[in-house]
Amino acid sequence: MQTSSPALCAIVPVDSFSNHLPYPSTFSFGLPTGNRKLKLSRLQAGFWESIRSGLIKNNSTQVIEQTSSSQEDEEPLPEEFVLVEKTLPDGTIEQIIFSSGAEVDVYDLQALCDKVGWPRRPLSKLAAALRNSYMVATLHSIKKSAGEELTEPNNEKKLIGMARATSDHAFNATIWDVLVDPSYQGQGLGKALIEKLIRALLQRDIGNISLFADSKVVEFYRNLGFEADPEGIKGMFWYPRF
Amino acid sequence: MQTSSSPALCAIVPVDCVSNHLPYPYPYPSTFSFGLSTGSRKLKLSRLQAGFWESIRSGQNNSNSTQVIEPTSSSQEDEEPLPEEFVLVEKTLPDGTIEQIIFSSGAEVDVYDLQALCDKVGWPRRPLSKLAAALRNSYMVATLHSIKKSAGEELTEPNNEKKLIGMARATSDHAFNATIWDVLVDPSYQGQGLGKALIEKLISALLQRDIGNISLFADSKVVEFYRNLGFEADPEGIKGMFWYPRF
Repeated sequence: MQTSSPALCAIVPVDSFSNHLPYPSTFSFGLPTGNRKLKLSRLQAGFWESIRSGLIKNNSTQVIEQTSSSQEDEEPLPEEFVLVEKTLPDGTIEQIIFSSGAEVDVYDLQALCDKVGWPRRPLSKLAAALRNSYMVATLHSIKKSAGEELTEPNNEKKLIGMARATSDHAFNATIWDVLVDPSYQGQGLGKALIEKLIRALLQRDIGNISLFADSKVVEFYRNLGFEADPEGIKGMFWYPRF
Repeated sequence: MQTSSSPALCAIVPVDCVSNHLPYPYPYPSTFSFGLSTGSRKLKLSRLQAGFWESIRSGQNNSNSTQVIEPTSSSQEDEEPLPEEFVLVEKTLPDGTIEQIIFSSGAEVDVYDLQALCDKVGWPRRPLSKLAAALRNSYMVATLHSIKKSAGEELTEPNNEKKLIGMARATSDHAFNATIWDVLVDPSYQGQGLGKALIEKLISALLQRDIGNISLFADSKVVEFYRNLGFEADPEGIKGMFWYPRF
């Protein structure tokens, strides 16, 4: 899929969103449609703008976005899709694949955690944590040499990012373990990971999305729409061992 | 089940003799920061419980007919699993009725009872189907029930009043992290240390399942309550964050 100029994504102008609320005002759970959808669209418009402008330098990068933002409300996010595709100088094509339903090889995850410098955790516990997460979102890189198909088994498929969420499947979700391979950082992939994870959670009507952010990444999450200590609500840990 | 004329003495192990001896070899390298760090936190847990039971006992010295029934001693929690259900408090009311407060970590919760309790504490209504799903998909649901029996009858008889008076639940990945949600105690039963008992037992049960990271989000008004139970806000600058909160 070669392009000579970046593909234009069909972003619906934010002005056309209505503020019509289908729920009675006392109903404070579930999706408040007007305000947050508007913010989600603005978030995504801003996000894709930054991805596109960052990629304009490189004419061989194509951003593949699902048609338009307005469709999120109607069509479910596909479980797996190509986030970014680029052609490297040597002719190799690399695709970054987002998935919310992929099997994660616990050894691959362990290796990725090592790469970002996290302390080792028992593999059996890692496996249990993955198994018992409500959602596990991953980024994989698939590379193929010029002339081959990307689906051929001898092509390199590498885990380069992950984020997972626990949930009660009804009201609350908490995001844990967000990581992106250091060689792939700085390209907006972490933002994409979280943004897609949030979208998938919202589509399942999980209205309360939370996380605990190290002081160094509070700004990162603020830029994605997260707010620290809203109305004085404090995140607390029992006898933390930090 | 008659109570004695003076409050039963609970077998609380004096904190001085809780040793710092780690009962089993600690096989993990020092870089392993997950899992139970036995020395410090167990000591804190024992002190927490000793302090807690002290406050329960001293608060009840006024009434000679209140008996605190603790599963043997705190030190046994390390070896024996917390029973799934046990009597937390038993008291004889002025009219001779006996009331037991039962803690359970495995009870079925009637979603209508829960809705009624949420109404009592003034929480906004939530759809019953979602409440049911939330209970079903929580890693642990801890409850407090009150059972009353008139003088002369058995407590297990079906016509005795069994009422849901408290709940707390936790979501978890079953390995590393748990987050506590929806903590509530019937207003008529507040102020007696039952909320503290609920959280304290929930924490014990989670620790016994080797869930080392126990978190929650506390309204500003209850931050102190949880601090007194061992929770710390923003440790090392870690901030709790919500996506576009609708508060």
